[in-house]
Amino acid sequence: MRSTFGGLEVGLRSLRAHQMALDITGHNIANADTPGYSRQVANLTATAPYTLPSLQRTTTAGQMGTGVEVARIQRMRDEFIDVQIRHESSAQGRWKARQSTLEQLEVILNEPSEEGIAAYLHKFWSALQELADRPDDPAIRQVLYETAVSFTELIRQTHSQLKTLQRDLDQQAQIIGERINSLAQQIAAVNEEIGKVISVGDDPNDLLDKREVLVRELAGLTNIEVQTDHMNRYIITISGSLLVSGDRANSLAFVENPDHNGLVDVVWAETGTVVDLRDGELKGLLEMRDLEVAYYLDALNAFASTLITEFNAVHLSGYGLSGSTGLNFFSGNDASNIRIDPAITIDLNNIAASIDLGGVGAPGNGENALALAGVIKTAFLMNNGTATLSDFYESIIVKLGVDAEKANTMLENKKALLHHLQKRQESVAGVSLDEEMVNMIKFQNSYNAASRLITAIDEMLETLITRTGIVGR
Amino acid sequence: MRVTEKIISEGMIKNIGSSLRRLDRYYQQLSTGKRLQYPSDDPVGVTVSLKMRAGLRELEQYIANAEFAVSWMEATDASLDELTKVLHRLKEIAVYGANDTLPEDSMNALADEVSELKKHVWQIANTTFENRYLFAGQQTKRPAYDASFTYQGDDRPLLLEVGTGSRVDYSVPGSEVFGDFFARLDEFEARLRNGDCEGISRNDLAMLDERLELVLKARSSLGAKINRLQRNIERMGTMEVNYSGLLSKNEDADIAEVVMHLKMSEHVYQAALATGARILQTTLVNYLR
Repeated sequence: MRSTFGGLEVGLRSLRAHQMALDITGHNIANADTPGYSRQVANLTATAPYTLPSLQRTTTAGQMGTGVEVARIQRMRDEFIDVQIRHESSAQGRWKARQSTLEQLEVILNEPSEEGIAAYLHKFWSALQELADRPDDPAIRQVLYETAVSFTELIRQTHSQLKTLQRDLDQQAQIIGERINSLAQQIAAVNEEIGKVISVGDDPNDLLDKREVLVRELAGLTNIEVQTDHMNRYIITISGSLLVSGDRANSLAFVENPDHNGLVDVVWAETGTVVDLRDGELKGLLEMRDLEVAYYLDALNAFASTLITEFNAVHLSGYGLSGSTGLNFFSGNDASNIRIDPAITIDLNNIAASIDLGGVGAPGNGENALALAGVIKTAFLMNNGTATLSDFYESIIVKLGVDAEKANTMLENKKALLHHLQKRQESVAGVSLDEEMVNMIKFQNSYNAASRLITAIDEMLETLITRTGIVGR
Repeated sequence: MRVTEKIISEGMIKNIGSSLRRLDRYYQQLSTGKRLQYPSDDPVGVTVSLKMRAGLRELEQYIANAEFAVSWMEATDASLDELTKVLHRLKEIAVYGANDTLPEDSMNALADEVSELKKHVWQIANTTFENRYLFAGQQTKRPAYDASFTYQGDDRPLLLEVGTGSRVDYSVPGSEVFGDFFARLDEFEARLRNGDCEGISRNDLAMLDERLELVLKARSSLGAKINRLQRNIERMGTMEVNYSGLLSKNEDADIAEVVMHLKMSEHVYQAALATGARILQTTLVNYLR
């Protein structure tokens, strides 16, 4: 037997449930463009029916429904895709750092062009050939000198640009590290709130979205593994070391490494051990700083120091126009300080174009100039005697080209993959305005219908209370 | 797959972005005329480019070297031509002088001419080219013969490269052509003044013939070298043209192709914008009252 006013309660529940569903629709529409927002769905379920079947109850059929309620506000999200997105974000971050650094290296080395080191090397060679043609011509010596000055300036300038790039990468790595610290703290704070909400039995949908945005950014910066505890709080580790655990966050610190020209090591602030980075933008920046840019610096230094040593060796044995001998042409010992020796700058006649003729001067002898030209183009001085200086420099450029091309392609691939994953997540979690509009109409109609039901019951009660039993009055 | 407005708009942003990047690349290629801007544009192509540029510069330099040697040798040959003329005149004088019918006056006049011609030969021996003495071996800054007709040069070759490892000696040392010529001319002059006709016919005619032969030998060797170098220059010139062509093919943008790509990219870009504008405008909201 059911209560007289039971119908009103059913109507009321329907009103409440649909109002809530309409509110959720409103929330979805409002957040249609919010980054990381997952659409929410009101899970409507029928409330528990009453009266268990019993022997006494023979006249009414089945179980009687008691209306509707919103059992849960469900957050629509494919968490497996989130895991993939985090993983790919790390890879993309690393390739982003590689690509942008290699792009800068390409600009610094400026090849192929008429202004690069390759072009200047050949100009220098040509000037030496001219000197061999006219070893006694002061104008030719002047040309050779000017060519050599611009050549050495270009080498020094390239070296200092590479150094600057290395410093910039070091700085960027620190900025990224600070960002990781800040994200870790924010995630810990959100974790704490999530824990509280879970403990009272609610779904912290919006907090979860907020946390996912932070975690995704974090994943772009470093490699992370994410686990959840019983309160759905994230435990985030970098290669096994804790970064975030519940409401606590560890932080990274930067220690200048004196063995590494004062470039920083990234360490755990608490223990001081070096962070084992395996992916992400921070890893990309550090490996660019320590491997790639360092490679080009080393290569340029090897190029310059071999040039200085070998060129000077030939120059030392030669004779200048006024009989000078035993002089260096270049001073310095690597790309940072290669210059023309002051002995040459003082008097260009000291450029040793001639070979030893037993103490007899011979202004028309340009054989040493030819030998000097040979140092640049024909002597196999690099890579264990398999490459000339000119070959060696070309091989550097080829390596750069191949690496940069690979980085460009990989970054494009990673971007496309990430875009695809985000699209798949959006397909689950994204707000569709069309859907929300349909839902809005649906919920509004249901709400209206429920009101209509209450009106109907009201009219029935009116009839029952005020009009029933007039006969006996 | 469930599609939301955001999927469409983000896809559109991505596509418009890549369309614009493509457009930018083609614009760059058109405005610079270069297909290769950076090594990563085509690492293999850039390697080829670097090698070709190096090869091209080598060719240019070797051509310049060879041309310098040729002009030097042509100047040498011109001087030797002058010397040949002098030698012919001297031979005429010797033939006259050997004839014992000439009066003493004429003999003295011939002797005077020999003395003048000797000075002329001295001048020839001291010819300069670009302020360098042609016949002084490597002593290019000193006259080959000083005022007392002593040789001041040396016998060392003047060398330059006309190809990798290929050196050419373009010099004719004075000692080779002139040798003791001045002393012999002095003897000749003395014999003319002394009326030693027999001595002239015995010594000087043969001496002049020998000298003439020496000069001819030097000139024919010069001619052969000049010919060889000129053929070299021609060959390298052709190679230079070929290299430049290949380099341009490798490095330069194919304008017609790039313009076509550019046009295509422009259309794609326009289409992306147009469809985006249409799709993004409508949702169900537009149709609800």
